[in-house]
Amino acid sequence: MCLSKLLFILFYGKKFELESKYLTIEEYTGDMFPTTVSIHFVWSAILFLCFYAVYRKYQENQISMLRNFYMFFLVWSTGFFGLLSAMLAVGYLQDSSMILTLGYVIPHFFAFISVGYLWRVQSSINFPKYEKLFYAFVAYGLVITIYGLSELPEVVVEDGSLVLGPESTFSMLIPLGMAISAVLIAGSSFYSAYRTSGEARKKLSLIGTGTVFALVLSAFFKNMGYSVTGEITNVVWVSLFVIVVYWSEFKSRIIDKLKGE
Amino acid sequence: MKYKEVFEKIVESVKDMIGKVAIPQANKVEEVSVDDQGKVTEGEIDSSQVVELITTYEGVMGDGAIAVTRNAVKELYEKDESVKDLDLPEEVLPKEVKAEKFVSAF
Repeated sequence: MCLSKLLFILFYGKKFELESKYLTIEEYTGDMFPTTVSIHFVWSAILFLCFYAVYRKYQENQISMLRNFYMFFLVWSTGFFGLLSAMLAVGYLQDSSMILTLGYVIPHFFAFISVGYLWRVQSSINFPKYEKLFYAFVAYGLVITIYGLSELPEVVVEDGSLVLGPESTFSMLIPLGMAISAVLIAGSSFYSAYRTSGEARKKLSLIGTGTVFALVLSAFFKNMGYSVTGEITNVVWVSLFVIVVYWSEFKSRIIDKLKGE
Repeated sequence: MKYKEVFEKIVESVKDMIGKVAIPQANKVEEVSVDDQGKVTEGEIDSSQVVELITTYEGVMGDGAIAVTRNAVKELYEKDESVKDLDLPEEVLPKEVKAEKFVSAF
């Protein structure tokens, strides 16, 4: 059974329990609100909490790296996952294939802006001269979005999940751009981890690993809601970033207690 | 590590780069006096004086001042890691210090 269906049953368990006397799971979930939307709303909310946590740290310690890091979470949470979920929800409710397509294409522009902010974090540490490469991320996002709007890749909801139609160039340009970004950003993060030690090394390694999962593996494993592996990939990268952002809380409440301190 | 050591190290590094003209420029920092050797003879040095010094040198050397300051701070960091605890502008911090400063916020 698809993970998204399990989540659905978890969310709507009682109702399903009542109605399942008459319907099979497949019949029940076949007409349900797309899990792609529900799950991405959840990711959006979790990443917004990450934004808020980093924003609070920024208030205490106003360094630009923190500002760029919270902007990464904010734009990803609202501009990408938030907008994507909202537009797909409207597209589904209105039964409009055009809104579904736009809901797939437009938010990816914000995805590249968000990744640009993550680049700013890493470049300000290791390559300050190349911080302006941020605008290359914005430009790439803009170009592929315009291309996507001209190509209008087909997007449909099938069995409660978002499904892409025939392979489109737009769909291929996204992982290409993300993969290149990941090489730069994760590479820089791992390099910083190598140059530091202790907790700093662990946190930077988690950021690097999270970046690879978020930008490369999630797209490779089709994270748009119709692949269990893709969904697990999302769970992994979001969790890694949550661990980093809430590190001190995580450490004091879990690790130190386990150690008996 | 104290701000005074950072201040003097920056003056010394800039002096090595552009010569004695570095001293009168350093003396432009408010309420600070520096002798011909680049040592502070008068005034308390804290973060704002270091920032003012860097800004003064930027006026003379442009971006080169940042690079020279970054190298000076890096040399100090290699001798004494407590430099990372000082409140210095991000752009003059060595890579390792920046990385640590970033993740230590969490």
